[in-house]
Amino acid sequence: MQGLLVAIDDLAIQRAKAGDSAALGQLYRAYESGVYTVARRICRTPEDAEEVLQDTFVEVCRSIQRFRGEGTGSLTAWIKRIAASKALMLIRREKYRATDELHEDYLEVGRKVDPDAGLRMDLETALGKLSETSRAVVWLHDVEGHTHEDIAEMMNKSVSFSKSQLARAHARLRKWLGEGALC
Amino acid sequence: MLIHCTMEELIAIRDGQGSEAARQHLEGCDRCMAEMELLHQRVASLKALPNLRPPRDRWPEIQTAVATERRKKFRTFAGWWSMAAAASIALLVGIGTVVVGHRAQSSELVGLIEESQHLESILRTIKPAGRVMNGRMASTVVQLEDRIARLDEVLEELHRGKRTRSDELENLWRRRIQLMDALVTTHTVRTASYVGF
Repeated sequence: MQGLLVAIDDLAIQRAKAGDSAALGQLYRAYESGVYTVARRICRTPEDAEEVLQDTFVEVCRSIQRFRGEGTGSLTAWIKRIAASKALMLIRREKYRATDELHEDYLEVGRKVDPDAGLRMDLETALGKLSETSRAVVWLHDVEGHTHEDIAEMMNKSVSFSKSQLARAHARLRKWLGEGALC
Repeated sequence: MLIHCTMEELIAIRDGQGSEAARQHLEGCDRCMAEMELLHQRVASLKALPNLRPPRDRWPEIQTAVATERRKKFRTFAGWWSMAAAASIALLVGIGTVVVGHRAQSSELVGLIEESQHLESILRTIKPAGRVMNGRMASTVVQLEDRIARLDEVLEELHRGKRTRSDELENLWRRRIQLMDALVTTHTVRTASYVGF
């Protein structure tokens, strides 16, 4: 999650913990873009990402008084984790499990028959073509800085699953971005 | 046959977890070094992607969802506290030192819980459901119910804890009484103006 757009200080955190709605609103303004970005990178549609954004902040408002960390650093990590969990929860739903495999199969076929398959894709497009699970692992590990243990716990999967998803995702990105043959 | 590093091995080395054999191979292999460089570049590019903005402001919906949830919880808790308060009183009176260290402090806490319970019962009698109130008054009621609901969450947690300090509990119960009192007053004023009108 990149830099905050609105400054949050310790006083604002304390006020938010006491249930001050203006402080909670300030928190929302500061983190809405970061949370939406995480959600959008993991979920397939903007509507799903918006749902994750809303669920994340409902959870933040509900639980902030139990937040024991200090400073914006730990608050950011806490909110980020809620956002990631909500997004992963959403992609775990049955409809995603079904379309996930379909999506990857489609890509396999697409590469064989599409004469333009060898053309360079931009990073956003390539990222969007990964399955939700692979994309989530890449984003959470390489951008948000979660460990494989963390991701495995959030996804309710094994550490080796997270590692293999990351390697698989990078291999695919490597091909689609037109960087030459794999090692 | 020369075996190059797999993507998983390259990632593991990047994360400081690769095997010694893979590391040694990487150091002597230009092709794998180039792959590692591409991996670094790809991750740097991912990190450099701009933050996205939600298409619309979700804060009003979030506030509504939270307020609805809290009010629902407040109503549930109001009933729950009546029973829990009665149980706590029985426990405290019977044992004397379950939550607090001294009998004098226990009776203080019992008194506070009883007072809160009394206000709950007044509220039940003066708050007929469905009566219309003006926007300002409705907002005051929502805010008070919100604050009581939040306080109830803390109280619930503290009552479950084994090492809860009695003065901490007493202060929170006093605060709850103040808020309940304000809520009762608000509803009383509303009822009076309704009768007057």
